[in-house]
Amino acid sequence: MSKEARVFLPQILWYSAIWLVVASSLFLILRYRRSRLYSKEKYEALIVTISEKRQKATDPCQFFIAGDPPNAEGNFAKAIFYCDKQRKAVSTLDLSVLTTPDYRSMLEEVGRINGFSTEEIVKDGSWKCFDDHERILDFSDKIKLKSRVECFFNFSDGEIKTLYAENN
Amino acid sequence: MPKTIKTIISIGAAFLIVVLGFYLRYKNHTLVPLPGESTDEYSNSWVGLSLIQIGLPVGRSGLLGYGGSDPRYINVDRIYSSTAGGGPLGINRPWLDHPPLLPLITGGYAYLSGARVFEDATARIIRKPMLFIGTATIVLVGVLAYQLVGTGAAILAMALFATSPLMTVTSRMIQGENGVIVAFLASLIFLNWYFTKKKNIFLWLASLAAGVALLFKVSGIAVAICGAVILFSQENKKMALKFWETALFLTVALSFLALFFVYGAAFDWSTFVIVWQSNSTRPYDIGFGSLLDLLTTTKITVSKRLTEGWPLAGWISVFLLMMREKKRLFSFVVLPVLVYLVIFLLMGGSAYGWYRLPFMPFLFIAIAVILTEGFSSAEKLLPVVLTLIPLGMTIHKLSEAQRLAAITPFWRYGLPAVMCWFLFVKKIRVNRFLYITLILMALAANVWLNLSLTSEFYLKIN
Repeated sequence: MSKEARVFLPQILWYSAIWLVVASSLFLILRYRRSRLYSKEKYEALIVTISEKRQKATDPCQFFIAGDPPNAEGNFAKAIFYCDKQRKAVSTLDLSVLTTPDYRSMLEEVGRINGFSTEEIVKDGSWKCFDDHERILDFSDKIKLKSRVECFFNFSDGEIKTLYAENN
Repeated sequence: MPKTIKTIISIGAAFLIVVLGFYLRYKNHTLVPLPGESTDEYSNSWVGLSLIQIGLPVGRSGLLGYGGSDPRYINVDRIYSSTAGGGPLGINRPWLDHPPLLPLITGGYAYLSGARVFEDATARIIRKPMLFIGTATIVLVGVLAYQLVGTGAAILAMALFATSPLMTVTSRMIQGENGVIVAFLASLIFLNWYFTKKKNIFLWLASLAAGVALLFKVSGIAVAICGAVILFSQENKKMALKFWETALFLTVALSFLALFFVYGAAFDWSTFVIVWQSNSTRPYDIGFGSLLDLLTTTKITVSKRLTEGWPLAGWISVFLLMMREKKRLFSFVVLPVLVYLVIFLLMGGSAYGWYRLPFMPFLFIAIAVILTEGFSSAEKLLPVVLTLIPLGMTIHKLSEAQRLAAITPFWRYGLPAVMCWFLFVKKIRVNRFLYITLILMALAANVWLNLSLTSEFYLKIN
């Protein structure tokens, strides 16, 4: 064995032995932590929980989801909120994020993303919602692809008709 | 001037540059680049946060190897009202695209700052550790330049690197390359000390630093390759010694890559292998277009740019150094650029701004070397041109933010006047004074552009 090998080989072998101990410990620790900590519920909570530090929306028109989902391939819907005669917000949602593809889930998801409660929209009756000009009476109905869900606050039926006529 | 006073002045100048560099990185760090322009920044931190919180790396990936993803809207920093586009993020678990060191740094910092869910990991929190990593890079650039050339070049390299608007903006981003460059520079510094001080500890430290680069991103393999080539190509050393030094260096450095394999196996070996294959089948990006793009454009993300002349001047300086006989400058400045260029092309990285970051410290050291030589040389035309290119580009960028119409004529006629002066007038003292003034003007323009880089201006120039 050369002089150089006598110097460096023991160092490499010692390092390899230490590495084996570190690698085995790392493997076991990662496996153990995963088995102790991971659950589907915790994963969901990590992803969908709204940050307490995030500013809450004062109404559904304060924030919106800009742009159309590029990979939705038709599997999307628009949610348009008319908070009063001057203010509206348009959000487009990729429907693949919904576990139940109905109107309630869709509006709740838009509400979660933008930080407002949809309770008064789907329950109270203070809002009137339409899908492609047809009144939504049951929010648990399955949502149609490329729907245009429009919800109006404090609008009379006449005002909604006028608005639709103007938009057409 | 006595040597002690010179040393104190140099250390003081270096300290001031580091403080200025930190300040420029800190100012507007939550606004520029715009949060959500690269959702990888959040994803990298989410991986660390999820590893801490639920023991599983969860992040966003675009790789096909996962065979699908869990589409989710995570409206951190309200990115869906601004930069993110309308689509949900494709979430993958376990996320095994890259090693987890940077995620653990930024995600760990976010956890310590009170973040418990993904939406808590805002740019304001997760970019903080990057400010310190970016500032550490300034120091390391100075140390390596000092080792190779001396104090003047070190101060200049630090000043250019600290004030370059491209570097201040990109160093804020949570991208593995920002970590790779710290480890790259550290590895080369220790290797250089190993050659000069002949102490085994420095070979070990160089090897460990090269290993750490691999924990930031797999492209950190460039550090291991570069170190191995430097060790194996030493002159006046026995072949056996060079072989064993290289063997030790590679064993230690590559053992960190092996740790990433262990990490992948602990979560899901089959997914890890498929993701690794997806990563390795990226298109080989060699071609005139990608090389020209690398030399002539200065990108921040995929679509956002911040046009700047320093990298171009740096590339020219690297080519100039390549033609020199100086082995140390070649090994520690040119070779790292060439080795990383191979990796960069293999990774198909020309589309992404942050893939270019590992070139930058060496480009800035190269230009500092050329500009410092210009100071003592009677022939200053080349370094003057290399200063005028970035100065002109920065002033042009500034003119989009500030009202600079008044100085345009001076610039227009001053430029050829300066060139002619340095071409025909050979007054050493006056030329030296003018030369330093030009470099100081370029540095001042850098600082001014940095201070002008608000989110509105950033949007305007893009």
